[in-house]
Amino acid sequence: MSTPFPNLTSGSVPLSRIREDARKSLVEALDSVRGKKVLILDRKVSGFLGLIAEVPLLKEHGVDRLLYLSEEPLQGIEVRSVVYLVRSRIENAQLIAQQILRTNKLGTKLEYSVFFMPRRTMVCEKVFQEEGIFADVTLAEYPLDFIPFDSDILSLELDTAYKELVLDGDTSSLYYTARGLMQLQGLYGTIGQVKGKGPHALAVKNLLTLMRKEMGTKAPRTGGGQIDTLVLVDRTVDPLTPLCTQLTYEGLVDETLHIKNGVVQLGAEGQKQQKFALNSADKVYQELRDLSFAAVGPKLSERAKTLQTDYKGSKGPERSLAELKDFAAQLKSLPNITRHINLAEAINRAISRQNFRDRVTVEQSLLDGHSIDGCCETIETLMYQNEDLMTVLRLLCILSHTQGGVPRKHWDVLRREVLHTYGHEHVLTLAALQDAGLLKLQQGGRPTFPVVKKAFRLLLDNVNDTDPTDIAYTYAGYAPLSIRLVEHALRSGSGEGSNKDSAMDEALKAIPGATFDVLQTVDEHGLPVEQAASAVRGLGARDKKRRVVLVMFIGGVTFAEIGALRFLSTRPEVRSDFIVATTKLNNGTSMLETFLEDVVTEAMLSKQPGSVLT
Amino acid sequence: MVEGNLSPVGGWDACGNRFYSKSELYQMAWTDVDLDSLRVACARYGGPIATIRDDRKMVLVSGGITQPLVKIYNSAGTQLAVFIWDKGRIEALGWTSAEDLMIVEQTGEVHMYSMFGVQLQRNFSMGSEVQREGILQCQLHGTGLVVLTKGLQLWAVSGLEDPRPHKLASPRLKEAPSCMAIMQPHHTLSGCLEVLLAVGTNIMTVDVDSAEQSGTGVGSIQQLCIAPNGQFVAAYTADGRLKVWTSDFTKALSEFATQSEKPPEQLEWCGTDSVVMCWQDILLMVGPYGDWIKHDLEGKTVLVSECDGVRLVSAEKHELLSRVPDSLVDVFKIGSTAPGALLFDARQLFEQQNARADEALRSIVGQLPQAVATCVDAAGAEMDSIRQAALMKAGCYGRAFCPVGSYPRKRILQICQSLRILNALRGSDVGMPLTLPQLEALTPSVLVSRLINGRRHLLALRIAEMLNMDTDKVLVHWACQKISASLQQGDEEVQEVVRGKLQRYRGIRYSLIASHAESVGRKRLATLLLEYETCAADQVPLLLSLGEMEGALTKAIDSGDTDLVYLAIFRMYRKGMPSKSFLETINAKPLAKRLFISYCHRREPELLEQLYLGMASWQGVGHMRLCAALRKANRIRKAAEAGSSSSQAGLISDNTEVVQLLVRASEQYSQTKEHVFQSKACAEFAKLRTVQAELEQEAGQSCFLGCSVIQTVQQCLRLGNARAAERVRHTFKLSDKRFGWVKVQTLATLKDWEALEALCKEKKNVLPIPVYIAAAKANGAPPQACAKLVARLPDASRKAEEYAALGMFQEAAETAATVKDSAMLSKIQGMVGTASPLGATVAQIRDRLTAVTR
Repeated sequence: MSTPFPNLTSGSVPLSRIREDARKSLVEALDSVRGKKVLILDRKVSGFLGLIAEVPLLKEHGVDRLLYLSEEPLQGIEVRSVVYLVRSRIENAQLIAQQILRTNKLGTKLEYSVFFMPRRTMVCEKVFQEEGIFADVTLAEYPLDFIPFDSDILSLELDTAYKELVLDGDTSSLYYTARGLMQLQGLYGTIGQVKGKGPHALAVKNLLTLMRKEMGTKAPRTGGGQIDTLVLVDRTVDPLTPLCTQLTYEGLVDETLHIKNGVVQLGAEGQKQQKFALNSADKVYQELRDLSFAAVGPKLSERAKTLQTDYKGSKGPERSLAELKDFAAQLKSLPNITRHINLAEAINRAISRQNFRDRVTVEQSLLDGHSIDGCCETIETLMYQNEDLMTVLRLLCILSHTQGGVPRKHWDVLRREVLHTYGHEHVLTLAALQDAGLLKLQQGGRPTFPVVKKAFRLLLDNVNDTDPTDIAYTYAGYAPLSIRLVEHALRSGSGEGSNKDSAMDEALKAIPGATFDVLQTVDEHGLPVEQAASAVRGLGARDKKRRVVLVMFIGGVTFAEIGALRFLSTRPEVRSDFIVATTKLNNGTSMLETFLEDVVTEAMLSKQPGSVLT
Repeated sequence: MVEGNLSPVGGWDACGNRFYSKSELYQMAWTDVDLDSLRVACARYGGPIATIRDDRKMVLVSGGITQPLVKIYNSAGTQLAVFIWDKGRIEALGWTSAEDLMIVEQTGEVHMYSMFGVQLQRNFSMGSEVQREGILQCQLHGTGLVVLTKGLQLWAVSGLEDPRPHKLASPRLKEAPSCMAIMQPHHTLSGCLEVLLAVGTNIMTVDVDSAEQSGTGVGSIQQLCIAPNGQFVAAYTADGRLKVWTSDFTKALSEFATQSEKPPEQLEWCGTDSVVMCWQDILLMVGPYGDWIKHDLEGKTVLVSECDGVRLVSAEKHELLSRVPDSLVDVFKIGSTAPGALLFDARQLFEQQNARADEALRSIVGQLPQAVATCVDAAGAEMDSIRQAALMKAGCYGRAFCPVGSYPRKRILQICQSLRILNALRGSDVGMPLTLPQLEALTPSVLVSRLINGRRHLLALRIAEMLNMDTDKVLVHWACQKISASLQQGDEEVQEVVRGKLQRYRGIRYSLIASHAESVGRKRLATLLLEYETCAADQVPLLLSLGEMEGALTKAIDSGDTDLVYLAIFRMYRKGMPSKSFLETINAKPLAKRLFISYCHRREPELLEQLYLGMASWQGVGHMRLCAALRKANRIRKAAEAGSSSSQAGLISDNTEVVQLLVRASEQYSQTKEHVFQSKACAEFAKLRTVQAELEQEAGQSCFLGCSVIQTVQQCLRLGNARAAERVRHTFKLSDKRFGWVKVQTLATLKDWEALEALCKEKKNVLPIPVYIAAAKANGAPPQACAKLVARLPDASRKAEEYAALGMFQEAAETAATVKDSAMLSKIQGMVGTASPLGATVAQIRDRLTAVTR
């Protein structure tokens, strides 16, 4: 929690208000419990709480100790009040109930308050009732929906949203998404236009309309809002992109070292792990984050060289004090550059491994659609080498998605190899991926991917890493469909359509889920309504002013995709500034990990090949 | 030069340098009211009046009902309600700030009635101690009451929403106080209720925590009265003097000798700057500087203090005695030359089409905004509507000549709106004689609440609409009243009436109306009305309590709020085995079904298994069994890690359980042909666990359970048990290639380079040499060990490359030379350079090759 906060005021819409509100209501929550207290957080909350408040602030408001949520009884607590701040999930309610029951058993009398985030729910109350602790706790809410991660990134931190949607059929995340978007509109004004594609995007749009109608005249004002357009991106329309390996600097940091809550840990084995924050407050990172990794090395050395020449130039008595001051200011960024050089080295080590190369090669040829059998064999060999299971599953899912399924002759072989290598408990994992439609057997019928690929130009040759002209640089030649859809949405209805677009419209039909484009307006009574954008004339002849576009990724977004959007905003023809909102910042690995059953995760923990007494 | 008929001056009385007026509000509509024999309670802010026979006085009862009647009137004397008082003797009665009638019995029982005489379900008791000791004195205020018991203890209730009597600090009195007064919480420093007691010649202030002397030697006080703003206290002393202090008794403000032998019957404040006393037929008002006015009274009069005056209620009429505001004095005082007066004159002349109007206007041209302000303020303070209009016109006339922006138009609009409201309220049918300062003190939203309490919904709605206030409250209240009042009508009929009136309004919370309908026992009507509710979070819980389970579930699903869906599901499903109809309903709604499954998965696995069986979802059952097996397996693993000394036998029986669960899972999966793979996998898993248990027994250590097939083979190899490895391989039909890979990986991780080389030499080796090299390198093999493997590479170019990578340039060069790979050679040359001896050797080899090729 000691990392610097990202600067939230520099984006196209100041997101700092969200953090201020969140801090305020956190302080209110803490102050509502008198005196010193113990604050207990579930691990997920504790992760992103650091983006809202720092430890001294908590101390100032009476927090004596910070603990992680567990079912172990509370012992050695010197204060009387215990405050839980947890997500409103059944698991958390169960843990709290167990902990309180066990603590009571020890004869320790404490006062408990539970703050559920973002709201208290029936389900959690029911758990408390059934466990018989309902009367012992004070229940309240901490109504935090979106958490600002950077000047242009908001996340709901619903990490299991995608899995719940595609596997459990649990649509809670859509409700919370709509709620969060309403909250944003409350702060920044109603968003005039809403576009999107896909079943869940449609559901969120419908919920927005419903919620505005429910609010009636109290709905956020229309007109003059700070955000012009909302694009809803449904991850189920493009599950492929997160499965692929991100090849931007930030994306690779995430793929190889994992960025957690805007922080990355770096350090050789045995050494102390160094934590540092990766966000726009770091000017060097700001410049590097969205570059193709291939371009990062030259950029870093260029920076270092500039410093060097400046230093050489600064020798001699003829330098004025002001110039020296400038130079000193530049020197300050030196440790930062060093850090990034270290980071780049670590990535370089990871990606020069043969396995990593094999993996990227397989990805590329699967996207291309050639030598499928070879790919299957490579995947098998990767398993022989005990490559990380998630990497293998990502490849298998890419294979399924791009080829319309795993070829029959490899189907059982590959699945059996997964079980033999990683354990039979993964029957459940494979079944979950199959039920979610991520993994399937090839069965007649033409796969849709090649059609979409062609219409949306997803594969490009000759991508220029250092001076890209298309978003495809983010995945070394593969342009994420999600971002292509955003491009398409921003182009369509603006009167700039072409033949290419009509091919895209055709291809869109091949993907399940509706495509929509509506306006959020009010009727003659001032009551909120929704209007089809096509029904309103003159939208095409919109002025040439830059738009602020909020892109909401339902089911998660990768850093490379965000990079692609940031790249788009630099293109003159797009004329848009983007804010990215998501249910979770993720990558293929963290996305697939949510499909693991708890029992399986536990079984995997014990699977580090044990030492043998010989 | 004010026209005589417009001037109000005739009714004004000078008191020092101020004027007071006594203006008639109403001729009372009541007849046959003898205030002498009645107890009377008047609500503040022109609220209702309640009367009951004063049983402390002798009255001639002439047959008929002997029980006293409580009668309630509005301020104009129109009767609102009458009911028989059939309870005990009354100690006190009064009105709360919500205009409910509060009647306190001598036993300490408190009863509440609406202004329409309906008893409210909010009666409470002051507690057993009060009942035992008996009440000596009782005083009511807007939000509670204070009781002084005969045991000289104080009990108070503050807040009538949740009336809880609490005891104040004991004043430790030896004698009864001569009088007491209440300081309401919003007037005290502490924010708590305080009670003033006059004891001997001292004053005590008592609150919850303490009882302190606050005024010593102030004299023997017979009556106390606190000003409406809480800042001053007026007292009548035994020697016939009226004294005024600041409310903390630190400063005496004035003193006035009444020269009366009798104490006054009533002592009240008139606004906050003068005090009114009344004897049988005399009313004496004393101003702040000792000036006074005397009025004669015709019969008994009740005084009601207001924030800007005092109301006088007698049998015949209702009057308001108040100070004339400065604005009115400025305009109407005889001979006034204030700008306001001149502007008013100008307007009068203008209306008479007299040219002097212009002259008059010019004379005050520099003071016009001030003149306008005076006229407009005077209009607001005036009670008479003709004078209101004349003053307002004068104000508008003057404003037309004001410099732009010097007087806000909005103020004129506000005063006009307020006057419309006040005039409407003063009408004798409504009977709320409010003044502008009173309206401002009351606030419009409280006014609206009072009006709807008094069933003046239309007026309340109009006022709310005019002032842009929320009309929901009014409309919902109306609808609820309507429902209560139409118990005889059919559900559809009432629904139509309600809907018909409310249709044109948006955002009405129908759930509140429906909930009222339910509370009066009209469930069907409630259901009908709920259809109009737009907010699902309000709708669903009520539908559920109405028993409309399916409807509620559908609405919850439509709302997209999964928690509402859970609410509906839980209400439908009570603990225990769910009923058939529940399962059918759930089955028909995919979202509900999946949410319920997701809940059961975490909370009630047994129930979920039952559910799956009921739905004939065999893979679901299989899934549950498999999870159960894994949970058990994890526990075994944990126990083993913790080193708990569970016996070998115990372990085996535990493992048998896991195996059995797996077998059962396999059976379930096998019932559908889509799940053959899962079925086979579970069977294989069971076999694996059995084999592993055997291996553990053999090895005498627990290092197998929990491993995958491959890891099991690895463990065998690590233990040097090649036979066991072979056996596992055979059982699970590992291909030669796969088995080869395991061996390579295992030996490499064990860093057993010799064994690795030996394996590589084996005849039946199926793996290409590079696999060995890569494995060795990845595990940090020394170059010599790698070199041995490299030597076995069949492809010379590749071999040369690997040698070079190991830094063995001579070997590399020689190998390259054998296949005449000059490109490779130059590469190697590049790597070593030419200066070193090694470089020279390489150069030699290169030359040789070129010579040969030449």
